[in-house]
Amino acid sequence: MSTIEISSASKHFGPTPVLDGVNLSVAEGSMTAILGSSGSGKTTLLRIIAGFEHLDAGSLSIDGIIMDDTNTVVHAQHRGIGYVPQDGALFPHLSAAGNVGFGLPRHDRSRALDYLEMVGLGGFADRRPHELSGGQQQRVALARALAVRPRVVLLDEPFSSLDASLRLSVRRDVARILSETGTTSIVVTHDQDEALSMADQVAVLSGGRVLALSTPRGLYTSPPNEAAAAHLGEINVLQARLENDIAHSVLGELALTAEAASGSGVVMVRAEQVRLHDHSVPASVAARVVQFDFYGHDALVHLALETEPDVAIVARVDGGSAARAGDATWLTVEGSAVVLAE
Amino acid sequence: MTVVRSAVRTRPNRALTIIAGAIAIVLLLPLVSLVLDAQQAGWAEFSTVLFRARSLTLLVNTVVLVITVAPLAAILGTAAAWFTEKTQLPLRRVWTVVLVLPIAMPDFVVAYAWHSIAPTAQPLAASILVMTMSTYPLVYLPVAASLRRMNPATEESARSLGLGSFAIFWRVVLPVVRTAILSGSLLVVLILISEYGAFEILRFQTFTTEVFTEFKFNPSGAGALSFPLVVLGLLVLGAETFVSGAAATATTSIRRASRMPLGRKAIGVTSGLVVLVLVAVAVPIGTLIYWLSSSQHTTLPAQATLLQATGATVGYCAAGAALAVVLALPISYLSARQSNLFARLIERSTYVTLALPGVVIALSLAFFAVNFAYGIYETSTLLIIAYALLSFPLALSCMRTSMLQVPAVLPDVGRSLGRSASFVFARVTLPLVLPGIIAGFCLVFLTSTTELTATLVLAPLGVETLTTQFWAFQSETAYGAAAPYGLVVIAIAMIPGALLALWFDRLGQRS
Amino acid sequence: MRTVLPPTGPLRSGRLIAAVTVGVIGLALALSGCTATSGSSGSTTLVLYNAQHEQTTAALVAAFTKQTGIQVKIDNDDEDVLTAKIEQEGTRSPADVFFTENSNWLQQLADRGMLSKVDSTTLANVPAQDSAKDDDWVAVSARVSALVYNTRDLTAAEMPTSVLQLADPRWKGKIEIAPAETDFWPIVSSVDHTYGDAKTLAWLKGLKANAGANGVVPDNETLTADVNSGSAKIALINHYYFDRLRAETGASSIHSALSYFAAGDAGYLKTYSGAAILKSSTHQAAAQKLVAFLTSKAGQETLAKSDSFEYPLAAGVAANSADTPLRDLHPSTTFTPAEFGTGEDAKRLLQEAQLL
Repeated sequence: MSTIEISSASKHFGPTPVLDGVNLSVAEGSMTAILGSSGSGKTTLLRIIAGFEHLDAGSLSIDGIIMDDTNTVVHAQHRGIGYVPQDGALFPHLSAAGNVGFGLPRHDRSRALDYLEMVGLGGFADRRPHELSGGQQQRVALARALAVRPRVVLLDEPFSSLDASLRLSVRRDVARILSETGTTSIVVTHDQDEALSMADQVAVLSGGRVLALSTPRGLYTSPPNEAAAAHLGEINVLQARLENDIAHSVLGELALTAEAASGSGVVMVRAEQVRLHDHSVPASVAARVVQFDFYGHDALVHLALETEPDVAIVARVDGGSAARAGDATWLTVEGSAVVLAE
Repeated sequence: MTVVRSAVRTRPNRALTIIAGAIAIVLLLPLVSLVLDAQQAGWAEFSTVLFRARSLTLLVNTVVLVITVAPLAAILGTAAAWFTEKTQLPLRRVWTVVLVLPIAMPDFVVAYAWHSIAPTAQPLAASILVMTMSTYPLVYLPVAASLRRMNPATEESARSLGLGSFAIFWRVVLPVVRTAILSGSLLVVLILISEYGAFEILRFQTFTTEVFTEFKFNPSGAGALSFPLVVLGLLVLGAETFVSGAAATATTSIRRASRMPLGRKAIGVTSGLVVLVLVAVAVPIGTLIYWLSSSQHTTLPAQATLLQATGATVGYCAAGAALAVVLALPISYLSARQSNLFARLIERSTYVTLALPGVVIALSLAFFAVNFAYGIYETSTLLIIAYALLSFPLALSCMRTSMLQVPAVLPDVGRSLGRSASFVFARVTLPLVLPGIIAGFCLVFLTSTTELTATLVLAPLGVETLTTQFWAFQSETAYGAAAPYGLVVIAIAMIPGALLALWFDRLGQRS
Repeated sequence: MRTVLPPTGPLRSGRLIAAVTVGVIGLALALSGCTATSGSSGSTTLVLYNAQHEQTTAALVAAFTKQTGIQVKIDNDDEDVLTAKIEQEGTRSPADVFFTENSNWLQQLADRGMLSKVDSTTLANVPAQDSAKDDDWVAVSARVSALVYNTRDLTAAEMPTSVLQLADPRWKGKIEIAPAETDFWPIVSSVDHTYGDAKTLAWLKGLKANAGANGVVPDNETLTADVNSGSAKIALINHYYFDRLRAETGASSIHSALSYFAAGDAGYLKTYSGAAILKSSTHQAAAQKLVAFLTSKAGQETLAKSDSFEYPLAAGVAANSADTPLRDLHPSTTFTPAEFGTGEDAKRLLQEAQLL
């Protein structure tokens, strides 16, 4: 059974459509990531689920009960939805325990301490928000949302304000706590790593529409369109002539993940599928290194084909690669190409 | 993200809008009364008084005063704020309080003190001095708060781009604090337009002093003469809205900027500030103490003892300030949470009252009370309403600032935790805007304690406040007897004045 | 159409604020309504709008209450503001009696039909020509216009004998005037009646030029104090302002003296302070008693003994010993309150001369 069911959800702010026919189901106990750039409508979608905004059209139900449609609106405070906003948004005038206990009945305030314990901040009950680090604030915000035992927890860009090293550990902690408590959750993010690593399903949102909805792996390996694919890392989009399960392209003959109708089409090859060789190998294509972006663990190489200098190719290679701008190189493609809908 | 946030703020709210609109209408009643007065006086009477050479002279006087004092107050207020916030000024904490105190000085006391020291001073020059001194804190307070909220990174970037201190101030700091300077200057201009007591003593004639004179000709039509003041006020409000619309906004930061060392300049700057405080605070207080030491004899029996008058002043002003704060709550909430034209119109319209002379507002309240609420006429209630109305914009500007600082997401979070709107309001919004409410209360309280003309008209029968009793003695040249009342007014006004300074000092420190 | 359940979010806190605001204001109004009604029980209490000098009125009212047991509440303010207030209040004015420094304000209210007739026995207490000709108000006290000059800079011999001479360039930078003070208007009116509009206007313009930017002051107290301190050398006031200053500061700090014009000069006037009963008063009988007391022998004696220094009008009541006896003064006999009226002529001329 689906915990959250959203169908044909639309929302306008003035004449501007912010959400345009969004459909989404979230299974009980799972985590869904909504991936999108700023202005995609992802925060609005979250605020509608939370009950801070209302739908113009479509419907939202939780556990089969209508929360918002053209006839009914249920108050935010009656939805049983925990909300963890950007930066945590702790109440600045209350202590950590005061924040976590905010939604608890008076006789049950001691539970606040249990939840602080759970997020690893047992000794910080009396600290004020400004006395906590960013990661600690975020964990208090999660404890506050979980303390009222919500049916669903919504997280709005919860880790974007944390620095890189902290982000990983807090992300892991949060994912662990959510799965341990069996809480259904939705996390809004613009970070593909976050979406792919944490979620059971990922929805790619752009211009108020869901471009793709799938498991992280499914979305990564076979995105339905170029826009969705582009949200999940560097890609090469190539014009190709399709013939059964083969695509004829500037990178040579590429195997396809699935058989396609013959004719001309567009295929995608991820940057990490492109291999560089320092000499010609069978089925390789000659190219020149235009730019080499070094990231330590890996590197991004921008290339121009010798035969088709106007086609830019990008490859992700091991950080130890010796390639430098201006070098001649030969490319091969590993694995299969994906046919994209045009 | 910003798109979504601003969209969140535009959601209309009917009940609140209706209440805020109703409050705005009550605040604009004096204007209605002016229209009725004008109608009653008739066009002929109105035009003969209004369209003559003298009106032009008076209008020119008012305008000259405004265009001199407002920039001077802005410069003085901004400079003082710069030194207390951005430099290693010695005794900085003391200055943040002392520099606000001139706001607690009754203008007629300051004017009288300076007039008795320099009786032959040119009226315009004397008025410029006195009014600049008494109004610059209205610029100083918001600018200091704004400077403190400023992200030090912007100044640091500018310095790394090779800009000197002056260039940084001019090209980086000023654009950010411009909104604060403008909103402070707006209050200064409106107060200048409606000021009476100081100008009468300094013999400077403005359109407002003319309104007082006009009472002697045609008492019932005198209010109509305030029309040019309303127009002037509207022009200023319009200009401020137009100019501030394009202002840069400050990004906030948790980190505090390092203060610039003043070195040898510290002596110069400190002496400058000392002179400022001497002129604005020490001389008037000194004058009153001098009066005190002179003859206490008077032929005038005190209608109220010092204790009774103090009780009346504190009671009425506290109640007026409380009312102003309650009235300002829905309007500040509306204007902070909604950015539509109507909300803006409601908020702005309430500023017009500040341009009207106190006596005009008092008489129009008398008119409305007599005709529609006779039960409250000649009672303390009407005086309390008058105090709330007269200083309403001051409360509003404090509370609006405070409301804007509460992120809209906090109440949302509160409700997602299963709490009702009223619980969230009481436990989240209210505690967070409380400092703004207290500041608004203080500002209304202290301006009311020094109010005179409306108090004379509306004080309940047989009740004297500190200012009316001071005025009664002072206008009969019984200075020795007047002095204690003046000193107590200052003492009472200084407590909220200092509280206000401390609140603004904290305002910027919260991230 | 959607049937929205109780709205959520900002809507609710907004409505809450709205409700709290209405509640607080309603409660405040209800409470004040209670206090307003509970205050006015018991025996008659008169309301006196007072523009006369506060010490004079306070002494008179104390004596009246002692004699009659009727309580009086006093509302002090300037006579023009009080007149405006009475006109705004209309028929619901709480005022029973109005006591002014100058008669023109009373005449203005009389012209608008807002005053009751004063009892004939009261009117008989003072000379008939001093009060309103239609019995709308009664004169209570009189004062005489006089020059005050600084005795360090000027001597009595240098004093002008006619008010017209004050426009002479000889007084440039030495004279101060208070054109907005009602006390000045009878003089303008009298000069106009004697010499006509053109000459009066020229005279006013001369005065204005002599006073300069710094010499136009708000009131007679300022004139008197400035002349005494020497910041002005000469000014035209009513006699008692000088007496009061002397009483306040003590004779040793007085560096000024009074001087009167030649007998019968247009600037040498006796003018009147008066009292009237509002037609809207619901305590007509008690109000008549108060006005009667002001002009009675007891009232007039209180006035004479007080620090008012104005001349009592009732026969057989001696003036304050500090004053020059009235019989030694020779003000114009042709200028009466009736001639002064509401002061329209004076206002018009002052406006034309751009002094107002």
